[in-house]
Formats: sequence, structure tokens, C-alpha cells
Amino acid sequence: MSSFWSSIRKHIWSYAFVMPMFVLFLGFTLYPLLASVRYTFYNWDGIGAPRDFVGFKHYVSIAKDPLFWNAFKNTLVYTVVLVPTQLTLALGLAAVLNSQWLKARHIFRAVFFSPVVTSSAVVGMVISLLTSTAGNDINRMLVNLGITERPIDWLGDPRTAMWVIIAVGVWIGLGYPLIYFLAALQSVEQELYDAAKVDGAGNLALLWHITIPSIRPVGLVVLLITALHSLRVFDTVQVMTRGGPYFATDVVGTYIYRLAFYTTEGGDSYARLGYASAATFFMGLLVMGVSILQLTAVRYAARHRKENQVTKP
Amino acid sequence: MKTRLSRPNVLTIVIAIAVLAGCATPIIAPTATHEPSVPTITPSPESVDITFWEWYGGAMGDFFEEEAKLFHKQYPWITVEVSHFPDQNVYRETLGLAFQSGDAPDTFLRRHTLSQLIESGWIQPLDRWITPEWLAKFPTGLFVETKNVWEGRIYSFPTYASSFDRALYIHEGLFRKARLVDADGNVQIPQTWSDLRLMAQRITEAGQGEFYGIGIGTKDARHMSWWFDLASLAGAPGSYEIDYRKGEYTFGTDPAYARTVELLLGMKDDGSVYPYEGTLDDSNLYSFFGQGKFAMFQSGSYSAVNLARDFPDFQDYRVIPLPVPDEGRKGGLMITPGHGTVFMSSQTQHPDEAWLWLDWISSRGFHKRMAASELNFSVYTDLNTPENTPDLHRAQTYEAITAYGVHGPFPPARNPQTALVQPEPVVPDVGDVLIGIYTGQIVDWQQALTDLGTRKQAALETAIQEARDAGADVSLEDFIFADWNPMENYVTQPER
Repeated sequence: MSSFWSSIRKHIWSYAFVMPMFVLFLGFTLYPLLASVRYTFYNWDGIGAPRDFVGFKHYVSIAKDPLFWNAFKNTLVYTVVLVPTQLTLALGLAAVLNSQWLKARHIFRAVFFSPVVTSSAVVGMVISLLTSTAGNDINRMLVNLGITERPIDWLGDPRTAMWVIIAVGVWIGLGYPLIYFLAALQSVEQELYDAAKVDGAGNLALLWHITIPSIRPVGLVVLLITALHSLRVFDTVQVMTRGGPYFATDVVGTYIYRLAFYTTEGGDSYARLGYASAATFFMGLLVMGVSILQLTAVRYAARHRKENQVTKP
Repeated sequence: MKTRLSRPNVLTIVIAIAVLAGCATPIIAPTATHEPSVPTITPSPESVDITFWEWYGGAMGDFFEEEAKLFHKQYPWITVEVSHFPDQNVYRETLGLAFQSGDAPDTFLRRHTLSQLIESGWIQPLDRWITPEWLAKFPTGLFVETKNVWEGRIYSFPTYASSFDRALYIHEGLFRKARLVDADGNVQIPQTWSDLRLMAQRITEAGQGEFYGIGIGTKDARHMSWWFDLASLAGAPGSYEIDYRKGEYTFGTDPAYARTVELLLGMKDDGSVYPYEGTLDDSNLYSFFGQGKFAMFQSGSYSAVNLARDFPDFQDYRVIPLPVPDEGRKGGLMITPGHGTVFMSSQTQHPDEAWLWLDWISSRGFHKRMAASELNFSVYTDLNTPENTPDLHRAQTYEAITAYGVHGPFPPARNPQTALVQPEPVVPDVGDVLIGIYTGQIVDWQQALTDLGTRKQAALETAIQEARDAGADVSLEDFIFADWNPMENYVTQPER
């Protein structure tokens, strides 16, 4: 026990620096999260204190709601397509931006990172408008070439809307993995490359045997962060399609938003915050499950690889 | 000295007005000529601050600010502090938090139902200030149980015109390009559904990909549900609501709904619809219309205001009533009589001063300026005339949105306990289903309409049962008004 406190005392400044963020996390993330669990057991419209206790009714309703599972499926599709696409692009771009021969690479880095610091809502709005202006030019070309009979409504057609949203998601979030990969690439020691070149390794061999193994730990972290971030997709979908057309792009985020701030056809607000809290918590559990599966798979792969390396002569 | 009204007296006046309304068309010109009705309140030796929360923001928010200044000139010891919450969801949440923390505004705009406000104890009745003269200045039939009256006590008052805020905007320039003009060179008006479809087709052909016949927004389910307003004109009363003649949702059984869907799909098949429906909703249709992308769209009076603001030089359009079926109109657009807009907080420390501000908002002076500013149509119908609203499109809009409005049945006026029947929202609702049909995601659309009616009916009956379980004396019978003629105003008579 004394060693525990002596360790704390020894690293007191580290704890002091961590403390503000930890307090904020407790107050503004963990507490609301746990407090909202109570609401999941009530019919509550956000006015006054919740009184109408319904037990697990909301959870049962959500589990039986085909629209929730449709939203969950769409969220998974979004994640499964976006994550590998974004990471591949980010790695490729990072390799290019890391090259010494590229002039003005600092400017390119800033340019590729700029979508990250742009409001998703603004980006979504601009892209929405672009699909009917620039999109109209593309459509006229397609129609003139006889490829399509009539213009494609990029965000209104259930066959294209999700792909547009994924493309926007890839573009807007590209900066984060790019920066991570760039930092990782810069940490790979040049001597490794030099030695491999002496041994006659080509560019592909350098990438496969030196670059990728060296940045693998960072890659795994980036993979997890990107996957979790994309499972929480909401703002671009809400702005661009509101989950439509007819739920074709509905993700769990928009599903929950609709529950929490539902407006009837007559224009009246009908908030179901208890139900929405239950959906949020339910989704949280599912995301946690997916994350655990992902982590288990990654660890299993790492262990498997290590064992292979050990058994090799 | 002005007479103060006791609760029974207010109830008597409300019933008298309701009875009068039963003998005539509910909306008549106001009878009062004085303004405003100023109660006898002694100026305070100390200055008093009154807070007022509103969720319009923008031009209407600015208007409230200006009115607060005028109010201050009249009552120099009172200052009204106006707070704006343009995001209605934020407003709703913030108001709830303000009441919980005991920091509620003295006066505020409605964003909750009256039953919610009463149940939460957020508001107080206005009986102690209301005089017969004050009440008489409003058109008859607009003080209604569960809308602005609760158990005989008045909590609020109507501000805006009774209308069904839907009209068709037509771009006269594009009509001319398609040569849709009569012998005198006047633009032809789509008066029937066939006109609408044919003209949209002609305009699209003339546009050759540059512009289209009509703009439809599938991004917003609410906007899409408005297509069923046309069904109302074909005799399916209730638009996207219940058919009170039967107490049923008749989407699958009333042919008027199917005909509306066929019209919608027909225009799509014709290629007459601006092909970026997924980008469009009620908030941006006017903008594309103003840019000449399409020649017609359905919207409310606010689109004329938006066009005037964002396209001040664009005058080449007209606002007309929605087109009717070829064989003629068989129903109207149902308006629920009575509404309350502004409330006084139960927590206010300055009720007399807060009342003065509410009285100011109810005054004809306020309404005259509001109508003249082209922000909203007044509940005082004589102020919505071209003499007070000189803008041509404003006058057209008022004419269009009041053309087919009829007062429909209102169950709480017959049995106030029906206000306790609160069906859970049905998702997918009307607008969602119409989007699914339009995009082709729903193939068997007749079955989808039947299913929709069944789901909404089940939600209503479940809510009735829940209300009964909670002790309310209600039944499905309370939602049936077999004697309603959807072409005429209906006055719901109190049952008990």
C-alpha cells in the first residue's frame, strides 16, 4: 500500500495534469451517462420530473423495432465501408506527404486536415447544395451520353444516398488518421530503410516489411478510434438526408434524435426522452460489444502472429 | 373602473361566444374599436423588468424587440427584456430548465400543449385582468377548451389568423416561357389537378433540363405529408389526420388518398418534378423557386416572406389556392378553432406588469404593425386586407391560405377529457410513407396506406384505453362527428 502512495507521490505532477480532464470527464460524460440510465425506465417528455415508470418496456420496444435494426444495419454499413477506405487513403496520403521530395508538403498537410476543423453541419449543407448544382452538371453529362435516362437525385435516391454520405464521411474525417499515420511514419528510423536497401529491398518490400510493422501499433489505435467515431455518425446524415429517403440512410444517431425531438405531422413536438435514452443506452451496449469483439480479434491476431514468429526457425 | 371577471363570468362569456359562434360562421370581423384595453394599474415608483422568451428569432424576433421599445414608451417604468431562441428544441428544453431552477421568464411563447403547461404548473390564468370589452375584441369562436381555455379559465389568447397555411406558388415567368398564357397574355392558373399535371409537363418540356414544372421536397417528411391536403379537397377530410365523420383513419379506404398518390406518381413519371427532391425541404424550396429551377411548389405564407427577403427583385410570381379535383372541390382544409400563443408564468413576481405586456400583444396596434410588417397575419381579419398589407404577394397569400379553410370538429370542446388521449407518434407516418411511395421503396402503396391507417387507428385506440385506465371518461365515440359536412364550418357543441 505504501508503495502505491509512494508511486502516486512520485508522479504527483502527472496526476495533477490529468486531474482537470478527469474531473470534466466525470462531470460531463460519466455522470450524464449514468444519470440518463434512470430515464430509460420512464415515459418522460422532458418536462418536470419523470413519474410514469415503465420498467424495461422501452428496451423491449427498441429490440422489436425494425426501424432501430434498420438504423443499426445502416450504421454498420457506414462503418464497414468508411473505416478501411479512410484508413487506406490516409496511409497512402501520409506516405506521400512524408516524402522529402514533395515541395510545400506542409501546405498539403494543412489542406488535407482542414475538413476536420470545419463544421460537419456546414459541410453537409454545402454538399447537399452541390449535389443539385454541380450534381446537375454531372447529371446532364450522364443524360447526354445516354448513361442515364433522367438525372440522378444523389441524396434522394435510396441507391446513391448512403454512398454520398460515406464519401463525405471519408473526406471530412480523413485528417485525423492522416496526422496519426504521418506522425508514426516520421518515427520510423531511417537506418532500417537504409539497411534494407543495402540488402536489396525494393519499395514494396520496404513498405511491407518495415513501414507497416513499424506503424502497426498506431494503426490499431487509429482503427479503433475511427471505427468508434463512425459508429457515432449523426451530424452529416441529419443535415444531408435526415435519415431518408424512407430511412435508407437512417443511422442510430438520427433514430435517437427523431425519438427525442419528434415533431408530429401537425407540427407539435412530441419528445420521448425516456425512449430515446433507452435507445442511446442500448446502442452504447452494442458499440461496447462491437469494440470488445474488435479488440479481441486484434489481440488474437497479434498473439497468433507472435506465435508464428516464435515457431519459425 | 373596469369590471374584473370572476371565473364563472369568464365561463359564461366563453359559452356565450361559443353559442354565438354556433349561429354563424365562427370567424367574423372584430367588434371592438378601442385599443389597447388598458387595465387600471398604478405606475410603480420603481422600475420593473419583465422577461419575454420567444422562439422565432429573425425578423419576428426583431419585431418583438421594437414592440418592447414602444411598450416602454407607453409604460416608462416597465422594461421588457426579449430573449430569442430560434431553435425550437433548444427553446423547449431551456424553458423546462428555467422553470425547474425557478428562473422562468415572466411571459413566453407557446411551444408546449396547454395540457402540458397546466400539468407542469408553469402558467397562470388571466381571469383577474380580463374584461368583457377585452374579450369582445376577438373574433368569435376562438376561445376553446384545451386550446386556450382550461376548465373554464382563460390562459391565453389567439394572435395569428385562423387559416390553413398552405398555398401553391407559381412562377409566372416560367409559365410564359412555356406559353401558358391566355389570349390576353395573362398567365393561366392551375385550378384543377389536371391543370397542375399538364402545366407541369408543358413547363418541363419548355425547360429542356434548365427548369422543371414543379418542385417537391422529399427530405422533410412533414412537407411530403402536405400532399394529402389535396386529398382533403377531394373529400377525404382531415388531410393526414383522422376522418371525424367515422372516427377512423381512412388512408386505405377513401379513394381520395389513392387519387392524390396517383397524381404525385403521375407527375414523377412525366419527368415534371425537379430532380433533386432529396435536397429539398420546406425551408429551401423557395430558394430554388426564386432561382427559376421550377415553376410551382407548395408551401406556406412564410415562403412569400422569404422570397421578399432573399429575392427582393423577384416579383414575377403569384400565390394561389391549392388546385382542386377536376370534378370540383368536395371538402375543405380543416382548421382547429382557437389557439393560444403567449402565456404568463406562474412564477412571475410582477403579474400586473406582465399582463400589460400580454395586453399589448393582444392590442390592435400591435397587430396592425405586425400585419403591415408582413411578418404574420393577424387574428383581426380586417387588418390583413391590402390596405394594411400593401404588398401584392402578401395579399395573394392571405387570400390563398384562407380560401378553403373550414373549422373542423374538435373533440376536447365536446369532451375535454379527450385532451388526455395522447396517441404515441406512428413511425413511419404519412410523410414517410409518401416518400417511400414516391422513391419506389414502397411498391405496394395501396397496402402501405391501409397499414398506415391501421397503425394510426391502433395508436389512437391504445391511447384511449390508457386514458380510460387513468380514470378518464373517454371512448372512440368521442372522436366521431357523423353530422360533419367537410365543406362547411363545424361548431363543436359542449356535451356536458
